[in-house]
Amino acid sequence: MLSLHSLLSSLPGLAEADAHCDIPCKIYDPTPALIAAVSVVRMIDIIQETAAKTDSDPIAQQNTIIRCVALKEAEAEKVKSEIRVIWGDYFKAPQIEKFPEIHDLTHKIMQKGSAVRQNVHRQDGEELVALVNRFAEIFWATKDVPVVRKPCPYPPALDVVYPAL
Amino acid sequence: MNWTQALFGFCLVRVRGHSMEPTLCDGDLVIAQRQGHGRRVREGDVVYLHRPKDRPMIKRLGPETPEGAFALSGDGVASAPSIDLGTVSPPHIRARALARVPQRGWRISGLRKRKTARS
Repeated sequence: MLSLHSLLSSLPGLAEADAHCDIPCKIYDPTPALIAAVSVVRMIDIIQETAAKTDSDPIAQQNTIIRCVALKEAEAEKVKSEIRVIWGDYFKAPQIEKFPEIHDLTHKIMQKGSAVRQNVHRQDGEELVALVNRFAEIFWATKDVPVVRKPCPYPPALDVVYPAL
Repeated sequence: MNWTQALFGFCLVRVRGHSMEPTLCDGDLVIAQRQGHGRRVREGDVVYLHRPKDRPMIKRLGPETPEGAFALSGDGVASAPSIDLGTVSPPHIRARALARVPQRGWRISGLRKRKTARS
């Protein structure tokens, strides 16, 4: 049906204006991802230590290992989920322009987050922490918040990026 | 500039999104008067604005700040909150919306000034 709207719509070079809806919560923080990444390393340490015990009750040993593996799975998934949300929802054109490495870094975190689930190599866990540390550095840099790199005050005492607020 | 964007100081803008509902719906056309023609914009006007490094938007002007900028808000319940939309300074306001051409029918309805919420 012919309408005024369709008539005017056919005019060339019509300008468009956004009236988009969005209810952003704006609360983003890489700290939960870092705690989860450090927890993965802690679980790997406990699994290795428990497995090395030769004189303990094998059922109790299995129980501890199974609990730690389950937690390692959950924490690794949490790292991936937290980073995905910040990368997908917080990072927009201005931040990406300033830190173009963010896409590759996020992809590496996803890959490493899976690697730590598949095995119990401490080095993979340490690399996951290092990657998430870099992510945190970039995140705080986009907000002009200075950071410090200090050993976390609990085992495994790895260097973690903290905002210096 | 294309003639449809600036004919006798008027321009035509297509609305994209739902943040101005029920005043303006997705796909509606808006007849707007370019700044420099007609009266100055005031709080409560619906305007077509384009801030640097941002997308062109259509929003309602909120209270004027002491610096001469205006707060922004969407009429729709799902619009981003005003505090997130920030402010717009008059040079970035392209045009004042006067009337809506809905997707269906021949009726053009005028856009009214409306009181905006104050924080």
